[in-house]
Amino acid sequence: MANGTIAFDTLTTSDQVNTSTEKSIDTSYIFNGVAKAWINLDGTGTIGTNDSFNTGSTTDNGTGDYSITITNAMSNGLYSHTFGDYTSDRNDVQVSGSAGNVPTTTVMRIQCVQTGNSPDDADQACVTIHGDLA
Amino acid sequence: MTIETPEFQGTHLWDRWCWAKEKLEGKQSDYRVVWEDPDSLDECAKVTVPDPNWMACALQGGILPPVEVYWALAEDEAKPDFKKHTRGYLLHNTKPIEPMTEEQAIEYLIMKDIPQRVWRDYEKANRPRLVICKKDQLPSTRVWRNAWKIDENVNNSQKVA
Repeated sequence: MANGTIAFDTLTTSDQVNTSTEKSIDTSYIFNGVAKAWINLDGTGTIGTNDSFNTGSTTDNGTGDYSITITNAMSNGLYSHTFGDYTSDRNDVQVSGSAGNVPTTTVMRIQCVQTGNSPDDADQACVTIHGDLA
Repeated sequence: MTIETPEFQGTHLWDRWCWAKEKLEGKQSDYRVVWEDPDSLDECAKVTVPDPNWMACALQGGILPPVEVYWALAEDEAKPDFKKHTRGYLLHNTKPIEPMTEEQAIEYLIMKDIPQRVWRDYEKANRPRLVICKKDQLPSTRVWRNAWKIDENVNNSQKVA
């Protein structure tokens, strides 16, 4: 049986189990809160994408320096971005937005560095973007 | 099993992406685009890699907007008084492009994600500044990564950088 679609603007709960006070939430609020794009990027070897959503390509700009493009552009460059890293042999690799490269509606450039600020390739560099879509 | 793409013109691109993520298998491409920015000659060569989910959408067809839509939005964003996109509807309402071959998808990706100054008139440049190659034509390790340059005598069967 094929699944259908339920269209609604507000989700309401009586919350009888906890507070017995009715609570409501707009579906637009839910939509606004979900991540609009994310990526788990393999920064070793010839870089690649382990998994992603709403990204178009990655660019290897040099050691620990990667750009990610967003397919459904964001409304403007002032979205929220969260970074993470996993590197198998170090605990001190940090990811940040690349200095001097202001995020645009379609490109986020990141930099992975070790303590002491020397660039390092991440086994997994992760970016999650929240905000408004164009 | 062949999956038929719904009629997506007028559907928000993000909704299409949700559909594709659920229905389509990602396609890891062997193609890489190696390029150098003529405005930053001191920088090393860059390597652009297509996203597997994006490539699946490109091959499937009926999902991605034409590349001209991205150019129009980029023009808007480049204006000094840009605050936010007001023509995002172009992404959602423009007729999506038909299925592409992997090679056509790479050409589309170059025009979408690599600055025009790199690929426009690149054949007239006095040294190669953009090469499409296979993954195994790139160095297999990242030793001296920040010194990679496109080989000036590159051809399609040899190492590129």
